[in-house]
Amino acid sequence: MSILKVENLVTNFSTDQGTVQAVRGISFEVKQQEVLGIVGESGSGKSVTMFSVMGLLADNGRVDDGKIYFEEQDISPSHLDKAARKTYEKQMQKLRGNDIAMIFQDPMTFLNPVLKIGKQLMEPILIHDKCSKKEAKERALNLMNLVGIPSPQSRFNQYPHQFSGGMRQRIIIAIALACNPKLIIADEPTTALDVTIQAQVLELIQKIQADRGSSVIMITHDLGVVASMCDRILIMYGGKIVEEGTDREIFYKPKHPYTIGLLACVHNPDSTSKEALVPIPGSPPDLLNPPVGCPFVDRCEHAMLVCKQMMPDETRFSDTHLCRCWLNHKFAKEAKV
Amino acid sequence: MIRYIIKRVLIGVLTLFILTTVTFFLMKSIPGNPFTSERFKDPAILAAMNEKYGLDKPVFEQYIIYLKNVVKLDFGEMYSRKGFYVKDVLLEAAPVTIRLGLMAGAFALTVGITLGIVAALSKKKWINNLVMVLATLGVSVPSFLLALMLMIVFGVKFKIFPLIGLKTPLHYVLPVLALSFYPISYTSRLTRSSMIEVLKKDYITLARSKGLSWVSTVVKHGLKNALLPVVTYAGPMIAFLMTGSFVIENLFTIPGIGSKMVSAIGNRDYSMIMGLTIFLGILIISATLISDLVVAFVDPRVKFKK
Repeated sequence: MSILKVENLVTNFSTDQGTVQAVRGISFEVKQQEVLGIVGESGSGKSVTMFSVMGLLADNGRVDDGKIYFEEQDISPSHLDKAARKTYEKQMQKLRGNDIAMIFQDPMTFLNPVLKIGKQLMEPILIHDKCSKKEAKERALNLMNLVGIPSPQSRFNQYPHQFSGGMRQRIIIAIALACNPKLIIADEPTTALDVTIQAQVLELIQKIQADRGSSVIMITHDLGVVASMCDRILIMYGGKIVEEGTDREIFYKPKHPYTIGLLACVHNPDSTSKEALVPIPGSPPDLLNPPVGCPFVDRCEHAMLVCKQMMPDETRFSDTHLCRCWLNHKFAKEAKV
Repeated sequence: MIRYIIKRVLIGVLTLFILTTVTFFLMKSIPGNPFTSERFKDPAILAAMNEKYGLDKPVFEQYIIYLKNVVKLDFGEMYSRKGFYVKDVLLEAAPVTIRLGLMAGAFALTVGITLGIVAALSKKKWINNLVMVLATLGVSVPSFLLALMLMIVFGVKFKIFPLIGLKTPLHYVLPVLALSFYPISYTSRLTRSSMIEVLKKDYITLARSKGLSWVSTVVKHGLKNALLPVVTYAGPMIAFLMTGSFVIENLFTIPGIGSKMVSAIGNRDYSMIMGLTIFLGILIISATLISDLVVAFVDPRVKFKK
């Protein structure tokens, strides 16, 4: 059974310059106990997808089409009328922090500077599991232990500015874990941390996932991060999913030129040669005015005329592996990628 | 915390010292002295008076004597009214001004914060615009003009509120309104912009991701942060309401500090000017200190900025 299913999600932002089409019709699902990686560069729509699922888009953002199901329950955001919006908000308030929890990107800005750590940690417990303050405190202390905060008892009454970045990220993780969520969405949880802390935090998320059997969506722009821990990987580009597959398929049999380009940017510590990393030239498409065809066309060295004119169909290589690129079309057999 | 307070008090004392010094020499540099009037035409009398009050000594010596007295909180006798002591006049006039200032301050904060929050949270454009227009008006209309308009409309035309003195609670309505209009406008603008700013912060998103409703997110996570700048402003604002009510006090014939100050300067009443200046200085310094302490109490990060 799938825990989260997204069908043809379209999310737009209205800005002064016009409508930014951040997510342009993507579908995917997350199975139980699965770790799904979503990889893409900034502006590819990966975070927006997750904020759409959580119903936490900024004021100018709107889900204009598509369906979202959490454990078969329809949680598609509705902006059509006031009553529907209200019901949706009620429904999401029960799910957020309880069944779906989110780990955020920047530990420096996501904790409230004027509230004690303990208070912020107890909040989701008190909202969702109607329990006494004492019990909530006990659970909060256990959580702090779990995420590896030394001497939680004395840390409990401290404020965020008394914590280091890594420790704050652990608190953010602890907040997400507070109510044993079935799905954890980690939005670039290691981007703002230095490398040694990154490894610790990833290990922690992995351990929790294994212990509790929750599903995890791991959003990142770093293929190195997902390599070790994801069962399946989606590659997003320009608001679309361009390739998806199991970790082996993505790393050993990449089909999309963008995926191949991304892999060329990852440093391989085993190689002895002094090969330079290969950057992908150019910049991502302008989503105010997205291209009709493949979003990657301007940066792709194999671009063909058709790529400019039509969005490629999906080509299936296995049950799990599919790619949207004209190079994989049966008429393009001669092209070498 | 204690160290912070001690440090702030010491800075306050230093400020007071500078204030008294500057005021003293400024005051001495105004042409004339308390006895330049018809009554003291005879140079012999004038010399005697000057000698009696120590005005014949060099200015610097006068300053030293003066400082010694100030440390003892002794401001001396009034020059313009024999037998009246500055201290007594202060004790009589200060409560009136302080009461008026506190009332206007409390009123301004209540109304201003409420308006600001309503404007920040409201999705309706016209509410937002209305508050902003009011706020702009309040900042730009001078208080004496407003006071006169209030007097004409509510005092003369409709005779709802009395105009002179502070005998009954009703007497307070118009002066408080006139005094608080500016701070209401300023507070509402400040609250609105700070609230809008805070609601865009990441920790608001995190609070929502915990499953908090929008209302409890605003109350539990937004309000405290949004009101920090307002608290910082509130202390000096209330102090300035007390010190800056000269015009209003004169218009409504209120026996407060403002009217005393105006006549003291006119009469070159040195002791009175200095007494009032120091009193007002203490008022402003302690109000600022109190609001900074409240901020330090609410915002845990402040204490560490030594």
